[in-house]
Amino acid sequence: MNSINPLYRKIIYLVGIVVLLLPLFYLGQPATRGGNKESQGGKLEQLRKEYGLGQAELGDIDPASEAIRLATLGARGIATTLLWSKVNNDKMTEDWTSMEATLKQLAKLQPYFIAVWRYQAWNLSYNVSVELDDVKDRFFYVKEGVKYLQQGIQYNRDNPSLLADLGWFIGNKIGRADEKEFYRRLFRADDELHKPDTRPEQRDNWLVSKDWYQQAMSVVDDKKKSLGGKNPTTFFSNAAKSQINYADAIENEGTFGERARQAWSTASRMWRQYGTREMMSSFGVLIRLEDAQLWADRLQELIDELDALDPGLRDRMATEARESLTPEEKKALEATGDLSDDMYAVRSEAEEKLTITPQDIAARIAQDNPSLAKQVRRIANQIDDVNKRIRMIASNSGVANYDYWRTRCDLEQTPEALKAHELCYDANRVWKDEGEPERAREMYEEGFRDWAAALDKFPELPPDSPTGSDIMVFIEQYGDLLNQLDLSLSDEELASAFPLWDIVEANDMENRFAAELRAHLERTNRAPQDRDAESLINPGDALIDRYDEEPTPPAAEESAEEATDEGAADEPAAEEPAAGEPSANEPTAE
Amino acid sequence: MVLERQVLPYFTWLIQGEPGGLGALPRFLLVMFGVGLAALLIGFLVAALRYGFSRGGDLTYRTVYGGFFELLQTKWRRVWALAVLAIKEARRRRVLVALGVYFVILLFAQWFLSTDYPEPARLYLSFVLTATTYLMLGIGLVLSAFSLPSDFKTKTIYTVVTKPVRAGEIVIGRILGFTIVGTVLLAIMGLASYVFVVRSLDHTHRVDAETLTNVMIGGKLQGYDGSTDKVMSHRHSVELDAEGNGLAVLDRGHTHNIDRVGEDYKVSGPIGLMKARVPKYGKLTFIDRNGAKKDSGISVGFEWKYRSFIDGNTQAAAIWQFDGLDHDSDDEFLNLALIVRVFRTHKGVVGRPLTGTIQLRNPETGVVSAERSFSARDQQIDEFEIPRALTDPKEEPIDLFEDLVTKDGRLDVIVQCLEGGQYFGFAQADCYIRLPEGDPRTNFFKVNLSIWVQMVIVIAIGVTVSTLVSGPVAMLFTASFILLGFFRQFFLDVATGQEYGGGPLESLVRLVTQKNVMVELDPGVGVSIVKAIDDVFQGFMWCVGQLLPDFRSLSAVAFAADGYNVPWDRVWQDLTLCGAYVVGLSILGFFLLRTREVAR
Repeated sequence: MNSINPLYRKIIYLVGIVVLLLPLFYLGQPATRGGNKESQGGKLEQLRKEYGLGQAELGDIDPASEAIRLATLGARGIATTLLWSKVNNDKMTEDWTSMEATLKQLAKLQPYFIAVWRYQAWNLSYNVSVELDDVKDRFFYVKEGVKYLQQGIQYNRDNPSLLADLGWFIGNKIGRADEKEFYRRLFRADDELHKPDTRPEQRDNWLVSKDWYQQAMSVVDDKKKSLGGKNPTTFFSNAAKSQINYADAIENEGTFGERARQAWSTASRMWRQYGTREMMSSFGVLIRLEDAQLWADRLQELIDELDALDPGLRDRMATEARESLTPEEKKALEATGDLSDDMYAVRSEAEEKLTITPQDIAARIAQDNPSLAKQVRRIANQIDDVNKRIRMIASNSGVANYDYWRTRCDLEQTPEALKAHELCYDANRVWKDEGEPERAREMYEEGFRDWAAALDKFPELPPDSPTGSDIMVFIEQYGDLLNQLDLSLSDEELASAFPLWDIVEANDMENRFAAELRAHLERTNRAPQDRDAESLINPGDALIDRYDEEPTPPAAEESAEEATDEGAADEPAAEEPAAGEPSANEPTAE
Repeated sequence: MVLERQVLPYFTWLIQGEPGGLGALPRFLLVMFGVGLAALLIGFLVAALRYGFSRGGDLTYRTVYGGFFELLQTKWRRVWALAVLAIKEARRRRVLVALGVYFVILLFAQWFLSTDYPEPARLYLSFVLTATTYLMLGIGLVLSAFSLPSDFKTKTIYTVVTKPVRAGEIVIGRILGFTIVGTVLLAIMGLASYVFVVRSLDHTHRVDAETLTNVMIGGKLQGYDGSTDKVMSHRHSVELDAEGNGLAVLDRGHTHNIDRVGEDYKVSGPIGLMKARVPKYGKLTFIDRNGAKKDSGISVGFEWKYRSFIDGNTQAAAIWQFDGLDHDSDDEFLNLALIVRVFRTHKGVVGRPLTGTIQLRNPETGVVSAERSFSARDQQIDEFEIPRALTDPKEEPIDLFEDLVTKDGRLDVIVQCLEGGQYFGFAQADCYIRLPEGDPRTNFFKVNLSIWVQMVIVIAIGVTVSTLVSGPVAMLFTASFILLGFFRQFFLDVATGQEYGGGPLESLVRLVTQKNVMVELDPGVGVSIVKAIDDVFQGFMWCVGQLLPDFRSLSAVAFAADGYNVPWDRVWQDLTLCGAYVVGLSILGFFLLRTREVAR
């Protein structure tokens, strides 16, 4: 080995480094703006921009956070694990101050990990707040959770989950808790949660919640951020729901007249906008909740079109099907009462034979008339597709309780309903605060007449709807008032003038008016109904509704969701339908 | 404050220890005996292997005898000279850089600290004192672990041992020298911490004149109510007299004095942010809902077992028995403090606190005072001034000290919850008699003294270990000692089988086979072998555990942070413990150094 070798070696290394740096330089060129040499930058820069991976794209860059993350010298994982453990320990030992301080440290170390913000904000607002007894202390920690989320949004400004969570916390935690009366008042009075120039009437938790939901919707609509695992039906309903809750809340607190009507009118408009929004259903089909009737009409058109190709075929096939039934099957179909398992199976088979699907008709027409085969197949496929859409719309409408809330918004804007609300509210005040039970009674009765008039305008609203249970609260107050006056709804005169018996019948869950109701039914020659048997609410549906309503409590699976988020960062929430697939507005186009 | 273990009186701690336990002195003697015996045995075995049985025995005898004789000849003048050398060495090694690090920490502390919290002083004190603790332990570790090994490496130790000094003096000299260096650093850090906390929390308010409303009684102006402006995320309610002087009502643990100056109001700085409450604790027992005596209340399902609960509107009660009160006291009040943990099984009336009662009882005569009701302030310190003149349940007048305190100074305080379906939770430290408050600065000093104690122990360990092994190894050993010291209780629980999941080897098996700690391992030969090996490990761990200093319980940071005085009993206990470690480790270090060729 001679003495030149090391020099050569070094030169080779240097050349190698330069050669490797060149493509890196080419790929990683930064974008330049302004001047004559405006460029998009290298491939890496373009990809980073396309997928929104740059830190500045995510949100604010905090020098403190950056410095701390660097200062851990690669031990960030260990540091965060220790801090998570400390948070859990502080929570267990009820050291709330230390816990909150640790959460801030944690956030500095993991500012772009969405699960940290969601989980720990939930911890503060929901879990820590209830550990304190004083309402002000509770509100303090609810607020701390809200502030934590707001901080998270500064770092991750376009994350729909964080924005929607903030809407949920401010709306539901403050407006639905048992302490809501206090919380809403404290929320209005709090300067930290509002911009200085916010008008007092805008400092309502439901309105602020609506704003955050709208921001969440905006990043999905305008910036094409992914919803991740969220159900679009519930996600997009939130803003309108907040407006509905606002309108409801101000009436419950004694605001009526034009302001209440305006609030309901806005709610109605927003709810209908929601109904006309295209949303991706779980079957990958775009739907609009308002299109239920449209698609039903379209289905009928297609069926008629199919039937027109071979008039009378459906009836002939039905006859054939009936004739093909075995004596056993006929017997099973005619049988009444409880069936044995075998009999039930036979009956199911028979019913299946009797069902004539569009596909059956299409197959039959294609067999009888091969020249029509292509046409009938197309129609049959379209019928299947329309059926699927109808099912999806019905299912998602059920999730959002769309029809009910649309009707409710309309009902609440009627002069009768507005007046009824006001009368019942004032009646309670006149009775409790002013000590005038007789006047209160008159007001209640007038209010009930107005309620009945309002409800008559909307026969589609069932008595056991949430409106019914809201009215039931006033009826219970009225019942208490009558007790105080030594009166009762059993009295014939009162009972006959009382116009809301169907509401009582459907909503008196505690049987407070059982005797009065029985007497009324006897007088009107009606048999009492078995409420359990007649219940229009399926407890299973209620559960599904509940789970769909509430955001998933942040938990360990969040990381999986985040992974999905990243993977689908730029997927639009509602994609264009695939080629050949009819779009949601096809019926209108046709 | 949370006090998991009561501070015993010094001599009780020294001689008797906790009930069923062992005093510190007998424990120390036992450990010394055990370590001495083990050292003797190991020394003899090594010597016997190297030089044969009889010469090994002779050598061991000479080492022990000569060693003790030499130790007795220790001269403090020479120790001091070596300590000065250690100080110089520490300066050469730029130990003052640690101060720079500390000031950098303080500079950036505001990133994590905020005055938004309900107890800002707690957070600030906890932060600076914890930072000081960790930094001082780190300094002690680095200084002590590398000193002697680097002397061996650079052979400067030969210069030292050629002088008339003994091995024991080298060890003690190092410990003393580094302790002095550490003490100076700690004093500077302590002072800086105090100034940092006081300056950070210092603030004043403006009285918002628009909020002031007249307080009229009988048509006569009695004063004004209002509020201050918002500073550091809080505002105070204001109560002023007719002249416009008064105070800002307690919020975030402090008040402000307000003086009218012309048309304006002058608001003082915060008063009471740093406190040193001096509690006198009693012994807590319970009565259950049926009236039976119990050692603890009921569990409401909290994972943390610190408090146990009594149910409301039943006979259930929490009873604290205090002693050492003065039957012949001239005081007009008994100052009592109570912390209640409220647990509701139903919301009750939202916004309305639960009510409870306090009764005082003479444990001898059974005379009780009439019930005094109070509104429970969950997790807050509620302070009561109980007047001397009381009545019994029949409205007959009684004297608090003469009728309720026994001649030997005992008094029962009975607390009950009045509301059915609701619970009050208590721990022993949740009720105490408030003695006159101590000086927060003295308290701050005491907490720093507890940090100093920990630092000295680390230095003693580091110097001792470094007599035998190289610098990095000494540092790792000492660092492990510190780490295990912080988790001593867990370590001992593993050693004694009180932790789920078995010993270290069983835990490893569970990790690899992904079996959680609650799952029984399938019985078999393998598991039996693992458990047998763990028995040996656990025995060894138990022995090590007896030597470990419990750094968590040595820390007095929580006292200052929570605003409680560190009892002098506790300070003396810490200092005694520190002395015991220094003495024990110095003797060990002396023998270890003596075995090295260079020091003979």
